[in-house]
Parts: sequence; structure tokens; C-alpha cells
Amino acid sequence: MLTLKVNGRTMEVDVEPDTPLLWVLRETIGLAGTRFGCGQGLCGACTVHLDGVATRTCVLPVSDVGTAEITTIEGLSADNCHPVQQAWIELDVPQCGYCQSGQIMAAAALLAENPLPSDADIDDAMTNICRCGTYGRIRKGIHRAARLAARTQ
Amino acid sequence: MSVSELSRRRFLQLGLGASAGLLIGCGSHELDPIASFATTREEQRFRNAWLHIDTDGGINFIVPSTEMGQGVQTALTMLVADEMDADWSRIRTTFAPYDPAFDNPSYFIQVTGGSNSVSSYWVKLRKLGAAARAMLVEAAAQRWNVKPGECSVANSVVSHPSGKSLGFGELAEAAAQLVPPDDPVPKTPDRFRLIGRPVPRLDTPAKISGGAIYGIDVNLPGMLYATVAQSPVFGGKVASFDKAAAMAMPGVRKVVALEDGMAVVADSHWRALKGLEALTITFDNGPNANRNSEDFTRMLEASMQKMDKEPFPDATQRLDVEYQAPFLAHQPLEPMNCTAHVTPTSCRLWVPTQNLHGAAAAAAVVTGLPRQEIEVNVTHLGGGFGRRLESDFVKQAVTIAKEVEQPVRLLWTREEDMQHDFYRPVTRARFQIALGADGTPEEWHTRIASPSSFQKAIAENFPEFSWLPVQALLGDVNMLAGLGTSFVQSNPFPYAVGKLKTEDEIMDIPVPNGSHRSVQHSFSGFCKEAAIDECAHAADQDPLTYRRRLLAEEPRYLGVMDLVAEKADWGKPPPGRFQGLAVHRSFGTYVAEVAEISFTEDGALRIHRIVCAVDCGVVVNPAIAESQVHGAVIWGLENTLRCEITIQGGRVEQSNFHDYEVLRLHEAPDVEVHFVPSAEPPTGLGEPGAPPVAAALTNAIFAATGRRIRTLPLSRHGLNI
Repeated sequence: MLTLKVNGRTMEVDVEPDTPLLWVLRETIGLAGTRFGCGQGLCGACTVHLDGVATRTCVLPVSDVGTAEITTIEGLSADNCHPVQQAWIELDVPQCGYCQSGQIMAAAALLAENPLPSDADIDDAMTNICRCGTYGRIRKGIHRAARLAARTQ
Repeated sequence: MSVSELSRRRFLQLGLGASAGLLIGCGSHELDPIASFATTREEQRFRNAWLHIDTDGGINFIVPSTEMGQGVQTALTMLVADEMDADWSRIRTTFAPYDPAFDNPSYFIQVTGGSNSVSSYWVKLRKLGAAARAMLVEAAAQRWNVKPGECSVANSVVSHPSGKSLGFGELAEAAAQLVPPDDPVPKTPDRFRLIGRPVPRLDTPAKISGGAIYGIDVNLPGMLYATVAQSPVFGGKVASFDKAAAMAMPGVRKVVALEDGMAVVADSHWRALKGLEALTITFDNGPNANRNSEDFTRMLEASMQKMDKEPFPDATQRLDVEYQAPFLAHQPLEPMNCTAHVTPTSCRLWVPTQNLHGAAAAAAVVTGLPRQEIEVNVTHLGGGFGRRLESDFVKQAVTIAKEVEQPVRLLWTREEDMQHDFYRPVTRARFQIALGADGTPEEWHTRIASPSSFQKAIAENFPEFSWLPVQALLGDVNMLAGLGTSFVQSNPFPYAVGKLKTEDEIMDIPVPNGSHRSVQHSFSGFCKEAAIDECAHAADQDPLTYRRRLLAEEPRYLGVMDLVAEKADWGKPPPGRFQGLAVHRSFGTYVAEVAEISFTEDGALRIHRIVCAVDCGVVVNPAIAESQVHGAVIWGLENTLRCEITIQGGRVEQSNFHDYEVLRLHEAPDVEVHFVPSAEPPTGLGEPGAPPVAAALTNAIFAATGRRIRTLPLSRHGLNI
């Protein structure tokens, strides 16, 4: 049994310790919003926050999570009210939407660390793949979210 | 939408149980009369019911196309809602399950592809909405004893100048008693309230909360998990396997032999993967184990030698040039997957597919059940791009599900996906062009050589016609798209050249190929637009002026070129920057693009912006339209810059995103999209942005350096961003 803290709740899971966190979240815990894209940490579809840091979970054995607090897309906000989600709605960022949980978690982690990122900062932080080519709107969305967050503070 | 709603059985129950109100349906063909709910059989009437107006005013619309990011869930709903003058906030949508009522009017099967959802349904869905509106108005008019023509509708409320008003919900039951109009008249464009506006997408809220259901998210009680290893060499088979070690792994339930691979079934995806790792498989590589990309290029080059050896001896100037583009993979971010539950008498599927007909056909072949009996429920698609027109993974899922009692979800790894795609085929073309004294082409001869997937597509979607040698009789009708003028070309070669001659050869190359966003146009848009640029330079004329002369009789080509020239400041790039132009029509839509580039001191390519002008007729939703063209440009760019599938030893060399390097955010240039105002019926948008990119970029590189790039990708020429 491993103990995990996910979206503010503590839970025990009975899985092989080498199971990637992604599959524990999706299949054992039932949080399917975090998605599988490549299995090699290359695409970012599986990004969640570990103690606030954007982390790719398809290559992270669950036994390595330790006591870190896990936040998934489901835990980012209860009602799409996070500034990144609000900006994503304003700009209709998603197309197929499959990568967007990961994109949003990466963007939210960037803004938590750097509330007013430059284009260069966004270039460095946002390495997730989007096959629909929503990159232009993701960039605009992050700038917009930065403004929304500043307004609410 | 929850998984339980993604089930046809449930869907029928809901429909029959909740049949209060007005249900309106129509058959699969555009000209069928709109059938009254009251006149068809109980089950059939629900199946045909595209639109349900409930007594509480809620409206449910069955979206006939699959949503893969292109925005049809919103755009098609807008067509119906606008005609109804419905309250947009009261509309819910459901994806249509497999049923002939939802066949694509252009294809006569239930498939989403070819950028034609909006254009195919443009008339039909507006008539559907207009019929609903007319019935609701008539019901109100009868209630008030007034003439229908005196009533007006806004926001789901019918009003009369006397001050009376009733909501759609209050009128729904009375309207259901009326006979639908035979030929409802859609609105004139001046009365559109939604069409033409950037209405927010219906799917955005679920896609940013993690709540949208993709195929990979389907979760059924007792469900098992499967994954596969297929023969790495195309055409290979399993020679032998030893399952003892796999079966001893925790949670592994079953090892299943497939046509060209093995599947492991377990009680979790990770355990299935570990089981597969433990499985010993020996493949018989078959006849293709020594084939490679260099062979294929030699075959294509040899095909080109079948043209005239010494064409146009008397021409003032002549060009004789060859272009080639490589195999490309689709790689939608959601790997191939399908959930199946098979019993001796039933087969239920939950699958992200563009092709419900093909999925049912594949399941029918495996189970022996009639195709009409197969239940296909479609989820959101984590990208399609043409890959999900294929049903190879459906066939596998059903084969595996036959071996277990429980429902089973098959999910491929990225590596399987990369190495068992249906690739954009490697293609080569040769142009022999004679220019007259004024620099215009007097003769334009084209030869193209490529493998084809035409026969395979017919055999798999219409197994009953697989004996017909269509390809042998007709050739591949798509191969000369944009390059030829035969009667089968819906996108003919546009330039007014003296004499056009085309020839083609279908090559026997043992690599699966299929439709890849913009299909043949991704190559024809490149080679045609680069060749015409070569002609312009040979004639010492500006590439825009040169094209305008040869397209003088084509106002829509002129329209997009003039708009892009204006928006891109054609001919006046900032100092140190260079421009390239390309224009191409595909899926009915005209797109002109200008690439603006420069080179850094150390020789790296910088793409500053891609400016696009698009004529797609009426723009139903400008915000979605922009996103489609923008995304198609990014798609075209990565395929121009560096993406390439190569074959060695009969197998794909690339395996994941580290060696198939798709474009990422920091590399994506500014893309500007401008639309030509138009009242023409809408045409395609998902694909037409892609074909011009490659030539716009290579023409700009020529303008900057004098180097003419005729084979893709650019990374092969030392050109990198």
C-alpha cells in the first residue's frame, strides 16, 4: 500500500511500485483528465503538479512520489475558475483538447512561479506537444491569464 | 457528457422514455423529405430524430459528424440553431451513434473527413432547423388563431404583435402533432443571427476541466485492458510465441494472437504492458525485410525516366524539374484505442473514430454479425487528421474482445502508433515545361508516381465490393488532385497554360498509406506552386504578377492572392527579410499564403510570419475557422521543415516524438489568417490551410538565397530553424 495525497485528499493505493503515477491516477483513482500521449515524458499530455511543480507522470514510478502533494487538472479548480482556465475559455484555445489538461497544468505552474512571463519565458516553459497547432492561442492565453490573475489579487 | 450517455442502447431508452415534445428527423440524403416523428416506427423514429425540443424548452441536437478538434460540434449546431432562432444556451448536443440516418450526405456512409462536414450539411441542417421553426410557429399561430406570417421568433420564443408570446417548450407538444413542411425555406444571409459570428465552442468547458470523454477515458464495469505488439516489418507475421512468462505476470488474463502481432489482456494497462514485455514473440519478417527508403526513391526516379527524353526542342526556354516529398505520420496525441464488448449475439464498441461505417464493417467481419447489428458509440477524438479513418485498431479490439467475457479496452503505445500508421505516401513528380517568348507556359507536362491506398479503402469500407478492381480500372482518382483536369478532378490544375498533359504511375511500395490532413494536396500544393515560381523566375517576372496573368479568369484565386498581397505587404518586406507566395485550392477552398523569412548570421532559418488569405465561402464561425487554418499551417510547416518517416529493413526507423520531431510552441511562427468576404456556400476548412505552406516557404528560401529546394524535408538540405 502506498499513500498518496491527491487534490487535497489522502488515499491509499495498492499497485506495483513501478507503476507510473499516470496510470494510478487514471485507473486506480479514476481521475481520467490527465492523459497518455507518449509514455516517454516527451509530449507533456500527462502533466500534473507535484508540490506545485509541473511534472510528467507517464515516466514517474508511483513509489517515487513520496509525500509530494499531487494536483491534477480536476484539482486545479472546482469550476474552471483558475485564471488559466478562464483565459482558455475566453480565447477558445482547445481544438481536439486532448493535450490541454497538460498544457493548462504547465501554464498554471509557470504563472505560479513567474506571474508575468515574457514570450521567451513561455518558450522555455511550454514544451508540451499540441498536434492541432493551438500554440498561438496558448501563448496568448498565458499572457491573458497573467492579466486576469493580477486583477484578482 | 458521461460515458453512460455514450451508448446507443441508453440513447434509445432516453429517446423513447423522454419522447414528450417535438422530435424531428431526416433521412441520410439531402433531398429526402423531412420525416415527421409521428409517422415512423417507434425505434426508427427515434433513430432518425436529429432534433428534440423538450417541453421544458431544452433542445438536444444529434451531431452527425465526429468532433476531432475541427469544431463541428459547434458549427453544425449553429446551422440548426440559427434557423430555429433558438436560445443558444438551451442547446445540448449528443454525438450520433452508428446508424444509416447519420450517413455523410456526400459519401453515403457515416464518415467524417475531406473537410466537408459544414459544406455537406449546409443545406440539410438549415432545412431541419427551418422545419422545426415553421412547426413551432404554426403551433403558436393555431393557438392564437392568427396567421403564421404575423409571428416572429427570437431566443426560443414565438411572439405576435398583439403582445402574445410562447416559448418553444410550451409549443413543442402541439408542434409534434403537425405535419412538417415539405420543403422548408432556410433564411437569407441578412437574417443570420449566429452564422458568421465567433460563437464560443460548445466543447471548451469540458476540454479545460479534464471532463471531456475521449476513447482512452471510456471506463466500463469489469473492463479489462489490452495492448499489442505488431510485426515491426510490414508484411511480417508471428512465427511463434511463448506465453508462459507473460501469463505468470500479475494481473495478466489472456494472450491473444492477432493477424500480424500479439495482444496481452490484463486487469490494468500497466500490467498489460508488463505482460507484453514478458511475452516472447518470434516474427517471420516476410518478404519486405530488405526494403528501405533508398529503394523506394530509386523506383520513383525510374518512373520519372518514362517521360520524354528531349521535350520541346524548339521552346524559347524549358524547365525539366523533379520534386519529392517523404512518408509522413499522423500521430494524433491520443494513441489508437478502442473499447469493445463482444458476446455471441452482440458487439458494442466505444471508439474515437472518424469512420463509424468502417468500424462497424471491421467488427462485422471479425464477429460474423450483420454490420447493422454492430453498436458503435463515438467519443471525442484526441485528434484525427485522417488516421482515424482507418479501422485496423477496431478490428484488433474486436478480435481480442471475442476471447474474453468482459469489455476490453485496447490501447496502443506511442511506439506502435508511430510504426504502424497509415502514412502520407512518398511521392515524386516531374514537370517538363516549355515557356513561350512572353514567359508563359506553352506546354506543361506532369508525371507523378506514388503508392496508393484507394483499393484498400474500398476493400475495407465496402467488403462486399472488394472484388471490384476499381484502382486497376480507374487508377487512383485522387492522385492528380490539383495537377490534372480529368473529369474526376474536383480540384483541377488552375493555370491557363497552353497544353496540359499528365501521367501517373501507382507504385508498389510495401508501406501502409492513407489520408493525411489534406491528402494528395500536401504534395501537389508544394510541387505545383514551387514549379510555377520557377517559371516566374525563368521569365524574370514577379511571382504574384505572373500568377495573376495565368489566373486572370479565376476571380476567387485572384481574390485570395490580392488579399494576401495586401496583408503581407507583398514586394515590400522589411530589410533583410524575404517573401515567398503560394496559392492552392483544395476541398473547395482557395488559400494564398506568404511566408516571410530571414537567415541568421550563422545560417539558421527564421520564419517571421505566415500570412494567409482564405476564400471558403460563408465563414460559419470566424474564430473556429481561424483556428483551423492556423493549425493546418503549423501542420504543414513541421512537414516541410523536418518530419519524415524513413524505412530500413522493411520497418519504420522512427519510434516516438524524440525522433519524429513535430513542431513545438517555441518554434511556431506568427500565423495571420484573413478571410475573403463571400456569400458563396461554405467549403472546407480543416485541411486547405496546409497545402500552400511548403511552397510559400521554399519560394521564400529561393528569394533569399537562390537555392531551389525540390525535395522535402528542409532539414535534409541543412536548413533548420
